[in-house]
Amino acid sequence: MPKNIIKFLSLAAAILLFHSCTTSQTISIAGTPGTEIYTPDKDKIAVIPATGKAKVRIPGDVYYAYFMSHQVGSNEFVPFALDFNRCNYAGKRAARILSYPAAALGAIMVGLGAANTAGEEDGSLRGPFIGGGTIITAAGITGAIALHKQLKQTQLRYRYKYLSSQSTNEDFTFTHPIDNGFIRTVKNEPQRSETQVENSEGTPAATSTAARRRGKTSTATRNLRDNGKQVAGTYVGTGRLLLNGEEVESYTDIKVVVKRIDENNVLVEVYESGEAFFNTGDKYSIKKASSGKFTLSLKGIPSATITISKNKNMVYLHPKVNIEGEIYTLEIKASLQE
Amino acid sequence: MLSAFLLLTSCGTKKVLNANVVGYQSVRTRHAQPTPERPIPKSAEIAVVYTISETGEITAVVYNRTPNTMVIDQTKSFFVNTDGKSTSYYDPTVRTTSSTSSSSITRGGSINLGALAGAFGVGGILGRIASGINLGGAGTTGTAITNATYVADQPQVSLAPHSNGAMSKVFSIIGIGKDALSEGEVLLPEIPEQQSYSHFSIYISYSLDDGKTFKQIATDFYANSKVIVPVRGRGRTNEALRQIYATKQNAINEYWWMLYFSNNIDKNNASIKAGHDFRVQGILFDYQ
Repeated sequence: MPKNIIKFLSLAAAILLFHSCTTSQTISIAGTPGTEIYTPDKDKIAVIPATGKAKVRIPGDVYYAYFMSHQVGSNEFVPFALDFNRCNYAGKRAARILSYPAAALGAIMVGLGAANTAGEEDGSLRGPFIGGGTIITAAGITGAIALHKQLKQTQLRYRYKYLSSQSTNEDFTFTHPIDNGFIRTVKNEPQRSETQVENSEGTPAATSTAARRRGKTSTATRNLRDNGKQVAGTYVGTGRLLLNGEEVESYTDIKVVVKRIDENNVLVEVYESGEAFFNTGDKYSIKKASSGKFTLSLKGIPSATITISKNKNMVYLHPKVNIEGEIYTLEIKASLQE
Repeated sequence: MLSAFLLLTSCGTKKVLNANVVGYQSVRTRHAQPTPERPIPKSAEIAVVYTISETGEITAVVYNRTPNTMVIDQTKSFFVNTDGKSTSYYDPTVRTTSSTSSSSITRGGSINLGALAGAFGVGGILGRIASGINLGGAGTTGTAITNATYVADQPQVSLAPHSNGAMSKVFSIIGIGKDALSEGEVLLPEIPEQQSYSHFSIYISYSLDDGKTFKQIATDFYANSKVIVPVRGRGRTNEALRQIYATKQNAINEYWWMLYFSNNIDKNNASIKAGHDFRVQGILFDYQ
């Protein structure tokens, strides 16, 4: 019987030691494969693999309110907060409480063994008592010190645990601010000639010498360089949603509303049967080819493009549409609504 | 005996992590910020870079873009706070190791502007300090302009041609920083300048003719947003953050912005590692 008790106590000591050793938490972060995960200190700690979930280990002595996600090729680092739950770490607290009496019990066993008063006349329990007692004392002391230190770590001290599954906020598309501030002018800055030409009838000629060489002209209000104005409008057509190349939904009533921000940038909103397809509009920059075709690129997602031909026919392609954690491709063909 | 032990250890004060709100705010200048498409003009003689810390302290770094020595008169350079109170950059009552009770603190040493800007690389809004906007002007190298040293806390200081220096003091702005984002519920994603809860200005007097005549560059700032969302459901801070993103769609692209995740972690305890409960990003420029 005493030998069984010794075995039990030795096992308990082993468990005590185990609880005193673990000092970190591993969480899983879901997102688009290829997305990089950064700490607030700008250390890259993970890249989301093809499975869509990355494992990250957080030390118990550090508090992180958030991490950041970053898509390669983009300038944006998007914070996502780390959710947490209350956790009393009852096991560790109980283990610390038990470590003191365990150490004392172990010492008593060593003493009893050494005095050869373990109760067996042949002294057969002396060895187990000394050996077992030593193990239990060592475990008790080690456990007490280690657990005392651990329980001072931030996570244990403030009794919280991060949720084992977290997710990024990369489904948000962020726009760029429109700066309405006045533009500083600096003295002696050479003024560029404007393309606009003054009507020379009774008024001073324009600053451009080329205009003077052309002789009398009439001023047009048209601005051929305002790409934003040229592509703005509502485009109506059809579309489809694909997952891994296979069509999952088709749309017969799609509207793509393009609003001018400035000469080279527009805000694009997509509506399907009257409902907004995305949480927010997207900002696209515009390039115009010599053929008269416009290519619009989405800020932060270079593979998402819109082409608008000279005849105002639109082809819309967005390969990174995040719907409930899955990445879809949205294709639209539309024409400018007159 | 075991029960006694359990009882004893359960009587201590329990600390439990509490995250009440997630707060966001951004600051703009009255004038438009330079961009790679519209950089600081070549003929601009002075440029100033402003950074604001998570506690709402503003630092001004002056760039002398000329081939002449620039003299800065700190007695005639001021910070005007939201409450209208004006403080000179040279204040003989504020010593080098000033206390936190003062609204201005004299700094020493050097600062890394790239780190303050939250810049991760070259290009785009995040990389503006290093390239594209012509910050240092002709005669500077790219790496030199991203570091600055505080000038001496003297009435007048000189900047060598094509060099820079951080004004000797930093000032705490009323209404900006973690303390302003710690509680409540606010939904102001876009605030016009006239309606802002925080206006402040910095005036810097400088001379390019050895102190014979002085000019002044005046920069007016205002807070153009404030969004504070309570954390509903213990620990669900990301949901509150997502509400901020949904409310302010250009949140992470503002010229200067900060996020704060309020919590009750004791920052004074050396074992608690700091800096992981806020995010500050961006810098503001002025020039003339």
